[in-house]
Amino acid sequence: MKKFMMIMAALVMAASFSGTTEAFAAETIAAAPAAKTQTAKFSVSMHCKNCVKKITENMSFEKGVKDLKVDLPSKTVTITFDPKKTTVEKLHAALTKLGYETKVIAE
Amino acid sequence: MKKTLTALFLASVTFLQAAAQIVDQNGNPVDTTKIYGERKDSLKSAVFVSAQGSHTSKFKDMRVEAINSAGLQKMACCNLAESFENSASVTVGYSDATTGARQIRLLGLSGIYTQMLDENRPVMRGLAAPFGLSYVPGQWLSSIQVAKGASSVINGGESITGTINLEHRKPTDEIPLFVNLSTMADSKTDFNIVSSQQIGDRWSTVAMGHVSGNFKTMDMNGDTFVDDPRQLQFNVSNRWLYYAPKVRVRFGFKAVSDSRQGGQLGMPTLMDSSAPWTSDIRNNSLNTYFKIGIPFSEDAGTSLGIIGDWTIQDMDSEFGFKGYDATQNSGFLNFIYQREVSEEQKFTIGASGTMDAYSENLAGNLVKSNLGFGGIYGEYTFKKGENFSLIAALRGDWYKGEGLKAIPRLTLRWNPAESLVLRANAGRGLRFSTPVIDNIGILSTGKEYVGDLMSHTLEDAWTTGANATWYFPFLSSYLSLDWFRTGFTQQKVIEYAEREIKFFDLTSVDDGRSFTSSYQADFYIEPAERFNITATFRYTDARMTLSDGVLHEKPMTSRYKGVLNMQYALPLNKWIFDFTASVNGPARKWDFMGGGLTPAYPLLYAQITKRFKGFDIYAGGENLTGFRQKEVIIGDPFSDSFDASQVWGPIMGTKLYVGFRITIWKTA
Repeated sequence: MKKFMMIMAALVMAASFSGTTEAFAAETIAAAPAAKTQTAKFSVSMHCKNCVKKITENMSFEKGVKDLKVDLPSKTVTITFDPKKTTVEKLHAALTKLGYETKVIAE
Repeated sequence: MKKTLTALFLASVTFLQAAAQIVDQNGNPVDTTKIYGERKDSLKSAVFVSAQGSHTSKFKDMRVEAINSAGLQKMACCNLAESFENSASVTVGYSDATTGARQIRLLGLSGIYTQMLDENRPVMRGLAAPFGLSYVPGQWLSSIQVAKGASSVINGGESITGTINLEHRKPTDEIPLFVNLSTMADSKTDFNIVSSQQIGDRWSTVAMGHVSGNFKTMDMNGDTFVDDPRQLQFNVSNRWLYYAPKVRVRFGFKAVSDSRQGGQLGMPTLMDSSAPWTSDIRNNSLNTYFKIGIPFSEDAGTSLGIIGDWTIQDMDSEFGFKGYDATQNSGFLNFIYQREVSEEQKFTIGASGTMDAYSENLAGNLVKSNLGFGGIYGEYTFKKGENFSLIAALRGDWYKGEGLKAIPRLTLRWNPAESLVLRANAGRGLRFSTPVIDNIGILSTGKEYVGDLMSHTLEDAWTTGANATWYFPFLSSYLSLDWFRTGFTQQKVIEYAEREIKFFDLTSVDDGRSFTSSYQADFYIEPAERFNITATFRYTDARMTLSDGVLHEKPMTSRYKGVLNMQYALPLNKWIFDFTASVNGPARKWDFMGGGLTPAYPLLYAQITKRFKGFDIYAGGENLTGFRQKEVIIGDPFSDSFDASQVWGPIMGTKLYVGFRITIWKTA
């Protein structure tokens, strides 16, 4: 039983580090072809840290989103996305659906 | 008459508590950490658990390590006790080998000397303490702050080694549904459901439910005692917030019902000397509270707060042939007035009181006791820009049977350079001891109790400390060094011998001394984007005079603990990998255990989390090296040398777990 547990522990750790390697690879792929991504900046009517969390938790998982920056002081959300998978309009609609007044301020 | 007084007391407590809720500058419903305004005091080192690891702010008077909701998801964190598994500041252990009761240590001292706060309301006091850490579901919390050293006097003078403040999920959270289910390989299962609802512009509420159980018991070490008790817990809470420009009111309740059976569950039941030794514990509790906050200015620079709290706790238990039934009724009332005179100066004054009515029946001997203390306090804050602050505080409290006591506390912060923060604080703490409750493990023994274990000695201690934090200009790294010392002038001492447990006051021994020094170093670095490492090492030197009049190294107190925590996340946190390794140092054994030291031992934890929109799934393992303390049970059950309370290491081996979380956000 102890050996089994040790093996399981090793597997979990190995999985962690293999995930890390994969993560670095994924990061490189996302960063390298800069021309394949597009960035849009939105003005969003957020007012507290809970809003930052709500936007981060939801927009991170929108289709095509590659990177996300939510800035409370300036009330802006900057999204880097894959234009083949989504559009500024769709991202605008997703932010609006969360209950915020939203305006595109830069594409 | 008594009922009327009680009702009046409760009502006034409730009224007072509300003032604590203060608005932020945008007029938004505020987090209760701001209940007395943003308290930027002290050297209090706090422990935060966050997704990015520990964070400290160089401009806060208080060095704060926070555990936020993401940090609470680094491990199984089924309950509050387990939330501290990756902390060096707080050590978690078992009270004994039969009840599953967890206890923490802060600055090398038992958790009874740490004040537990629920959104700045004192909780888990007395009878609610031994099992209280199991009654706070980790998934109900949004953050934890652990502050070391003498803290604010606003919540009373009971904190000696520090405070642990719990922030729950808020009524204002735009999450109408959160569900979490996790299960461990040993059958321990946790289910949580939380719903926050906003009703109109002014009302909001959060309802929280929890069911957990340990349905299958095992005896992996072959000592005939189950390693973890069979257990079933129901826990519900409802909190409300009314938020208007001129008043903010919070109120709510929490009810817990828990039963657990441990001991020799697998043996046949015979009512004679060969009968199995079992423990059967039933805990029920109800807590209600209110807070009223009245801001007198738009920026809430001047405000009145009123906080009230009432708790009923009931414990019925049997340990072998020994019964322990106890009930506690506790009330707390606090009036707080705060005024910012200028940007540099602020003062807080107030009055607060606490009463506790205990009824304890130990092996047929019924003892009732009423404890109470209360008084007035003031706290003055002076700030010079962002680089210097001073907080001077004083309480004058009357303690029933002990008279008037002064509780002074002082906190300083100085940033001599942009990258360096120095902090220092000192202060006094006082608390009534509750010997049986404070040492619940004594019930899991067959030993004779010698001395007065039903009296409530007023324990008296001074804690001093200092902290230096350097922020390096690379990789968001910093190094923090802490030193704290707690010295008792009065303490209820408990001493284990082969066939007896002695209870005596520290001052009853000639030249009796009891002190603990704690040294800690924390290093944090982010070597790559979304990759952070925290390394912490704590050394503790704890000594106390025992009944032989000699100053000893305090038994069963680990000399050191080292923790290494690594977290890596893929972009947008879609995968998160957590790994924690700790080494727990040796502790001096009691002489009746043969003396010497317990061995040092390692613990490993790992978890992988995959996140989808509104859905997380996670799997991990605890104690991956499978280390277990051998010989947890000393002596034959029912003999006068029987002792199942000398636990210094893990009782369970490796525990694997899986779980999921569903979060549904409010949409337009």
